[in-house]
Amino acid sequence: METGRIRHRRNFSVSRLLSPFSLVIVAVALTLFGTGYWMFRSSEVSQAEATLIAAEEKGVAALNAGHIEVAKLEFAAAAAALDAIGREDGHARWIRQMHRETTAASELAADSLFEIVAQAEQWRRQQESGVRAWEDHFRLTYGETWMVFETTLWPADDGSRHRIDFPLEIGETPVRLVTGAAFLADLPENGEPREVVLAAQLKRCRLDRATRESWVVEFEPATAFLWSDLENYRAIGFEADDLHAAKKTAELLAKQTAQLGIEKPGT
Amino acid sequence: MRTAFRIQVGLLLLCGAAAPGLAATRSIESFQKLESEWPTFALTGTVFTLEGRYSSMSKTALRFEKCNLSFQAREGYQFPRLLTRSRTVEVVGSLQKRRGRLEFVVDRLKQMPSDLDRLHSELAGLRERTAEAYYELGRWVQARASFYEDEEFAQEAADIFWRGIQQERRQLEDGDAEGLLALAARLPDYNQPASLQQEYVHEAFHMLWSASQKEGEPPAENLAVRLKETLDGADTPLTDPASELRREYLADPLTTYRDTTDEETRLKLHRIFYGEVRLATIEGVADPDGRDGYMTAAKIGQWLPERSDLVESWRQKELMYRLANVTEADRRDVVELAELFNARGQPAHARQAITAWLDAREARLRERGPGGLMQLADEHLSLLEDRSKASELLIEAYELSPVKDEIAERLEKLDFVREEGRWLTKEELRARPPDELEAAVSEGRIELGMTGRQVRQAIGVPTAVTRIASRKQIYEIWIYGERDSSRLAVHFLKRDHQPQAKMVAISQER
Repeated sequence: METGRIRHRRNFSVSRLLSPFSLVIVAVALTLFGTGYWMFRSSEVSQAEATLIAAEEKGVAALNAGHIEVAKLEFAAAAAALDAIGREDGHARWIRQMHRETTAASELAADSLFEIVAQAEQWRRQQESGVRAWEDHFRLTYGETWMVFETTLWPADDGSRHRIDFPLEIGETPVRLVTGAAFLADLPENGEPREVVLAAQLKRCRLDRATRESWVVEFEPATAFLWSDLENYRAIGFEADDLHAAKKTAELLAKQTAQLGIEKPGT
Repeated sequence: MRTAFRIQVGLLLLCGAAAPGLAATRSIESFQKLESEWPTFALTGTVFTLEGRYSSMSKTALRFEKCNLSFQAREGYQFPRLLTRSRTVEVVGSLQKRRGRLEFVVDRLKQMPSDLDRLHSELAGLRERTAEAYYELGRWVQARASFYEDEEFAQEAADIFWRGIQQERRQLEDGDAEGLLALAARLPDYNQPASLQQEYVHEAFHMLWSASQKEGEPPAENLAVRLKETLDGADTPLTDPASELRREYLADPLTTYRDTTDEETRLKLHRIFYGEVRLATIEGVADPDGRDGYMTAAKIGQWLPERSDLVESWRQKELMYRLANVTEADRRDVVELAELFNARGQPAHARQAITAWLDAREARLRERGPGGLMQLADEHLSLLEDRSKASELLIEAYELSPVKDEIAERLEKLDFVREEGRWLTKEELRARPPDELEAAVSEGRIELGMTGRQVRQAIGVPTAVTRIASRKQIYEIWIYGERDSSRLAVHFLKRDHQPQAKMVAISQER
């Protein structure tokens, strides 16, 4: 008898849930929710579109005036607006690229690679726990700052995807640059060297664990990107000392722009 | 009775009819014209008083010049002895038929003054010395001289006519050119020489010319046309400018013309005169500032080809006008103007035109910034080949422009080199005092402190280059040699305040 009553109670719960009235309630609730979400989303999109237009305009003006910091903030706002809208077209890529480039240009590392590693060597020699102390100092001083390279990428043999040929020695201690497996992952790798202009964030400067006789400078692979804009390139100080080199760089940047699928406004 | 009465009445009537022949003296010329009526006169016994020049004369017989009639003294009459040398006589008589032929029977003969004496007498006795009086007298002399074929007397006619012409000339109002032309047209009728007619025509046209000049307006086209049609030689270009003759004529046209006797020179004077009038019609409508100088020159060349001096003068005038207003011209016009000056062997003016035009454009182009400076530099190069000014402008543009490649390319084409933040010509570079680094370059060595240019010159172009930008500095490494071999690495550092990267280290990769 108890079992039957229990059985009867279960049957009652399911049937109440599936009753026409409750289905209607659920449907109404879903509709209300959907409508509300759609309205919220529409409002968000239209606000983002307005933000995008204004921020892009201000960003371009700031670039033209040479105010990199301001340009960075404006293009950041523009990029966020693009994310809200969900655009992925050529112009949107250009805005995002400007965001990346202005960020890199305004957050360049304070010292050259040579000076950074020279400091590291000095820390090593002067302090007993110099290496660890150095790594902490590096993280505080140079961590997540940027460097921009104009170089040749070679196939790497250290697990990285690409290798930057930069024969540097501090005293007699060689320096090796490590990019990582995800460094410019989208760049096709065909076993041949390729000239590039790129930017990447510094990650670490450490002594080689195995040999302890060379310094390793690591870059954050996920941050690496190809450069596209010639004006921004010049703004960070690159200047060719002969016409041939200047033309070559301009052609390279144009090629990279095309590779990135960027559509610059006015082109 | 009745018959005699009839005869007497008839005689009386005949006497009455003969009365006119008796009253008026006829010349032999007019009597000769009545030759067909002589027989009638012989029948009627008409009495004539005739005068003329005799060709021969005896005591009873007489012959007049140009008359084939015999003049005989009447019976019992002898011609009186002539007291003067005049061969003009007057006879009174009538025609009669004698021995089957007509003769003039002279009842009375009287010597008359010669034609010349008569002329002098008439001249002295002219009551009104009008032109017409002279002309009438001249016509008598002319007719008389013509009848008697007396050339010497005919000259007197020309003389009398000349007096009449002078009288008529005096009566013309000042400046009555048309009156003078009308008088000139009649001069051949009065046996006047063609040169006098030319003189009058010339003077008449000169009056018209002077009148038009006083009015201050260009002479009407029709004056030039009339000159061309009237004065022989006016339409024939001179083979040489005849500057001396022109100068003489223009100083005193009437006297020069009058004093010129040979026909060839007069034809030249006609051309010169016509040329002046035609020139006035052309120059009268030309713009005095010369802006239409070429068009004026073309007209002068068409009408007065011998005036090449004026053709060139007007062309030059237009060119100078255009030079004075070159700042308002467009590029095409100023280039054309310079070419025209150069074609005329005036390179200084050509340069002046272009320089003035460029100076005027400079302020406007400077407002456009580096782009305007570049355009100005291009103009200095292409128009003046002024490399110095062009490079000066390009260097200025370079310092202003954020985009320097194009400017750098142009400067390099002008043989400029960028060295330590400055643009130097290759000569300036070579002229710099030799320093250790340049010495090393020439020896193919590299030293710390060298620029990229110096390293390239010393040891060549690197195999690979890596440049890294951090804040306010660029570090770059030039690699010489292939991977996996012994390589040379040259290190450069450029800080923000430095114009160029300098070599800071060198390493050999093993």
